[in-house]
Amino acid sequence: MELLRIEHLTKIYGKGDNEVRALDDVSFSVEKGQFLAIVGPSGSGKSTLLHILGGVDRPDSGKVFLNGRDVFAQKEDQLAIFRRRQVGLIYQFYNLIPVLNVRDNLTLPVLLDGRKVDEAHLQELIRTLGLEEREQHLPNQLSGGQQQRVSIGRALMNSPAVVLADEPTGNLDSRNSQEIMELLKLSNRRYGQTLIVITHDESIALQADRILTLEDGRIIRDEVIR
Amino acid sequence: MKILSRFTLKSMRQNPIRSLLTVLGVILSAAMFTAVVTMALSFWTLLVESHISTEGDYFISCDYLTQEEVSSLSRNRQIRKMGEYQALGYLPLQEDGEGPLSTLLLAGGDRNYFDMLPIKLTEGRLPQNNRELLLSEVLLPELEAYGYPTSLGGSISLPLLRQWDSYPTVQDLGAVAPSFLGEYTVVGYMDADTNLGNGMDMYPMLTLAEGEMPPVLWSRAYVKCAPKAVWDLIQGAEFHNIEVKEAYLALYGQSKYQNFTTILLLLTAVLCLIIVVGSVSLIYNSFSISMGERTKQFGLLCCVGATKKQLRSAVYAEALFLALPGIPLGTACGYLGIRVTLWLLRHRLSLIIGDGMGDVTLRAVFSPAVVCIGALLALLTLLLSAALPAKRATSISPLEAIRQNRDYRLPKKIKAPRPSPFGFPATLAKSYYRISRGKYRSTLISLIVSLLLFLSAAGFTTGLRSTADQAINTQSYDFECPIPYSQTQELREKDFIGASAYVTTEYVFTHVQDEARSEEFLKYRDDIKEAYEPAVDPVADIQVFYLEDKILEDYLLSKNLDPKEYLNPKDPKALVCYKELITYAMADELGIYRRYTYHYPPFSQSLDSLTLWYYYCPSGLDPFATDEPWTYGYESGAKGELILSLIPLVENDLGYIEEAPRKQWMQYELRQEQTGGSSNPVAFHLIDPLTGEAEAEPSCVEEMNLRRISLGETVKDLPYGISQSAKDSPYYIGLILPLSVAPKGYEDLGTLCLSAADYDKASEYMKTEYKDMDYIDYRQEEEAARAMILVVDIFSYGFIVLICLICIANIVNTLSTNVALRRRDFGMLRSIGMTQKDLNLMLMYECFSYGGKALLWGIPIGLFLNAQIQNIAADSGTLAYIFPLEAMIAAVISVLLIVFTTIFYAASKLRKDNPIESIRQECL
Repeated sequence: MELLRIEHLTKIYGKGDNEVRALDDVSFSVEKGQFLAIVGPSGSGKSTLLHILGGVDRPDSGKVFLNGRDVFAQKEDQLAIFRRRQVGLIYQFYNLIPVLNVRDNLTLPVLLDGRKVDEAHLQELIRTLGLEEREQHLPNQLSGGQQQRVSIGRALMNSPAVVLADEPTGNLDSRNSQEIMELLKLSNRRYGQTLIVITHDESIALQADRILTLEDGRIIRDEVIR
Repeated sequence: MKILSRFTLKSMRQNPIRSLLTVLGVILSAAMFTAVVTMALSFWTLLVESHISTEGDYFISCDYLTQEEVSSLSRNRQIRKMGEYQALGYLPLQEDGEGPLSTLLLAGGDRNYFDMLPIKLTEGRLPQNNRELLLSEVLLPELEAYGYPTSLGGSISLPLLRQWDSYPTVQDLGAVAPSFLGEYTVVGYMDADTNLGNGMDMYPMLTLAEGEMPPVLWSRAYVKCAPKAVWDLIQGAEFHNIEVKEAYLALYGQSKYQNFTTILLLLTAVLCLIIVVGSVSLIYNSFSISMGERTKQFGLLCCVGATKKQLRSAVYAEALFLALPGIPLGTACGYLGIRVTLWLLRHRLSLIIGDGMGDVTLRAVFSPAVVCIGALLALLTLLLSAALPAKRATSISPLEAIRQNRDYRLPKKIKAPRPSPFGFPATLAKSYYRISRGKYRSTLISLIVSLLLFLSAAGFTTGLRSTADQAINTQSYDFECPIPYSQTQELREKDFIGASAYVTTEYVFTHVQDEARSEEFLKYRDDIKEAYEPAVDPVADIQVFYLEDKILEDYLLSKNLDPKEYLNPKDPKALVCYKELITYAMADELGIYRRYTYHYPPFSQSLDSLTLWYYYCPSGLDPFATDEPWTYGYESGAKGELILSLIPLVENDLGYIEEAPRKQWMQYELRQEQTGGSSNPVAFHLIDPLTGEAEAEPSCVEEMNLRRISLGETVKDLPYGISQSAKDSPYYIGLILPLSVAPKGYEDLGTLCLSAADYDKASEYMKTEYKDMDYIDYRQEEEAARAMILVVDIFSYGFIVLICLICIANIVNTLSTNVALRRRDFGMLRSIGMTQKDLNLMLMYECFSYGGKALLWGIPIGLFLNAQIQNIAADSGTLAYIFPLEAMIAAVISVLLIVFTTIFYAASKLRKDNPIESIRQECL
């Protein structure tokens, strides 16, 4: 079942001689529950694509449909709610709120929604992420791997339709990288979440169901692995 | 607590110094708002209480009312309080048809009347019933003289008339007897200064109008209503003789003329605006920095799904967290600060207020409404400061926030920095300054605002000091008492009195040619002609001081002058007073009034005698055909002749009386006739207005009172008892002669000049024994003037210090954050080999950039404001401008000190950093 459909997405930076087409008429679709890896050289438009899919950036032209709904036809507030409920964004540099502890960082999307936290779900997530004894810690009291786990937990807290990860292991050692990927794959398998990962790491890319290769803002290869 | 509130609170805790500085700013701001509004209310209350104490507590008085009209008025619902004054009978005082006639009034006042009118008792009590009488002190001698006993507790019988002469009786009295006997007990005396009205109403004999009263001849109603209702009440009134207390209404903003409340509100608003500017600058800056540092965090929240409304709420939540401790604390400090200040200054304030405003003091008035206004103003300032940062926090896109690529707004045209002659560190400092210029504009504004306020306050206090300086006592004595010479002995013998001298004066004039004047005087006259352009060349006015012989003799001996020459009763020599005067009347090319000092002897050394003329117009001259008013004056003619001008007075377009144009004057040339005897006949020759020639035949010849006086030494140090006006008045030349040669009768028209050996005792004695005498206490005036200067200094500099504290907090906040945010940059610079010395140079150059720019803008504008304010404060611009050199130096040093200290203190904290740690630090 198609979850995500991208149609003729274009993003241009600069003007005139300085114009850079970060994305140039990109179109593709993603099935529900699919694990998609996006690869490509630096400056190919991978992060731009991910940020547009996550609703944190707007395309200059083209459309993005999630569950049949045009994402960028929404007003700002609706887009914020979309980011809160429909997508989970994971960054290379964790991007946790430094003044909030692990629990608050994890439950941020729920609390912003004004809803009560499902303790059972939270505790299960904490256990899955291996953060049982770190609940009250601040981000600067955690290792890199632990911070990235919190970041993943935050992305999964609201059980979004799609999880978008921008080089989630880029700042981690190999052991932590493997653990993080296992967690992501777990959420993909157990919760049926669609997972889109940007990576430079071939070994991580090969773990995906499908690899999309970008170069100069265009899709040059779309390969289904499994 | 909601997640964003928790986020806000924790962010604030992470930067305790900045949070504390901002709370301090809120406290200062709330304190100042409360203080300003409380002072305005306290000052207004003082004026209201003063008015009630001296004039009474009513807005309207209606005269000559019948009882029916009084009754009708009392039923008017707009009236809150009404006092009735009833005229009951007249008591003419006349001894057998001879001697002076005066008429006293017996009146009754109801209880409201005694409440509303400023009746001050000197002895006894107020009447409690209609058989008791309160007498004005002024009436006591008169009543006793006519045989009416006035002792307290004693009975007094008053034969009163119901109709007398032209005095009104509006009430229809019917068949009641025209006279009656009023039997009363005297229970109290009223202060002579009590202001109860005009004419005989000023000093009535008062009883309480209660119970069975004699028929009322006419009534006066004193009405208090809502201030706004006054004019409606008057419009709807069916009777006349209404008097409105415009001055009292002005305090409530309801006068038809000038309203005091408007002025007070305007002044309060201006001060509040200044506080708002200073406070908003600090608090906005603090928020701005806070938002700037947390740009990434706001972006993250946005990515995670926070709406703009939620992000704005987070910013406003920070404002409210600051308001919670800051506003109550600040409001309390503001009120207590004013209360303590006024209490500490109570003695000096009482000197300034004096006795003229009644029995009142300036005290801090507490009003919950006023305190709430102060708190509300502070809250609004806080929210205003947070508004723009809140808007900015939501206007950044999440991606930009994460990338933090808005930190440096590069100009569209990026110019490579020109290398500085002071080396690379200075070039780098220039680049940083240029890029961060917009970000730290508020720092510059804070510095400039502080400078402007400081220089403005300096101008205000300098101007007031100039005005107050004029009241500083330069006389050689403390008191001046106008009593006859024969009555001076008792006072002079008191142990608290030191030196004393008796002086009497007369005003005459003399007519001399320019050759008889000193060169210095002629120069002065030429200089001021440009400013004054006198229409005529006036004669020289003389103030002759007749000084007690013994005092003059002592003075002469001290100056090695022969007393025989100056105390000769037949031909005494006059001492001439040297002139030392300061004039402010001349403006330079820029229109700034400057102080010019002139020292000159009035006459040339060759002049050894003068003829003194009295201002007199002979009755033999028939000035004009009509009965129109006229005046006269003496002037010097073009040929050096003495001219008497008879000048008609006319009404101008504005309704004011002024002198008619010169062509309507009648002028007479005076010629002294030589008789060889002791008489001084003077002929008055009419001058033809067309030819300017005097008629050959005089219009009249009059025996004039002229005196020929020999002139002695010109003296700079004046004898004891001679007023300084002899030296510093531009209107009169002072001559000193012995009292023994004063014209007959003058010896009892002078003043006794006294120095106090014990000022407090002397002052107390004068207030008690001579309270009805118009004496001058120069020392008290001087103390009052000095007290005024001190109070003004305290309030204006106190205000400025608080504003500057807000600005300093702002500057410290911004500059130290500026340095802290560049921790990574400093680490990088040090890692590539920049020495600490170079870093210090770079910072020093930045200091000069901020401080120098602030001074470049602030000093010229500040000097301009200073001059304008001096002009206004210093007696409407007639005093000289004083360049504020000290204030300027203090301002320059302070600005540079603050900037240098802040930047170098912040940098010193980074000095200990390991370069790599600084580079690595995640700036979240």
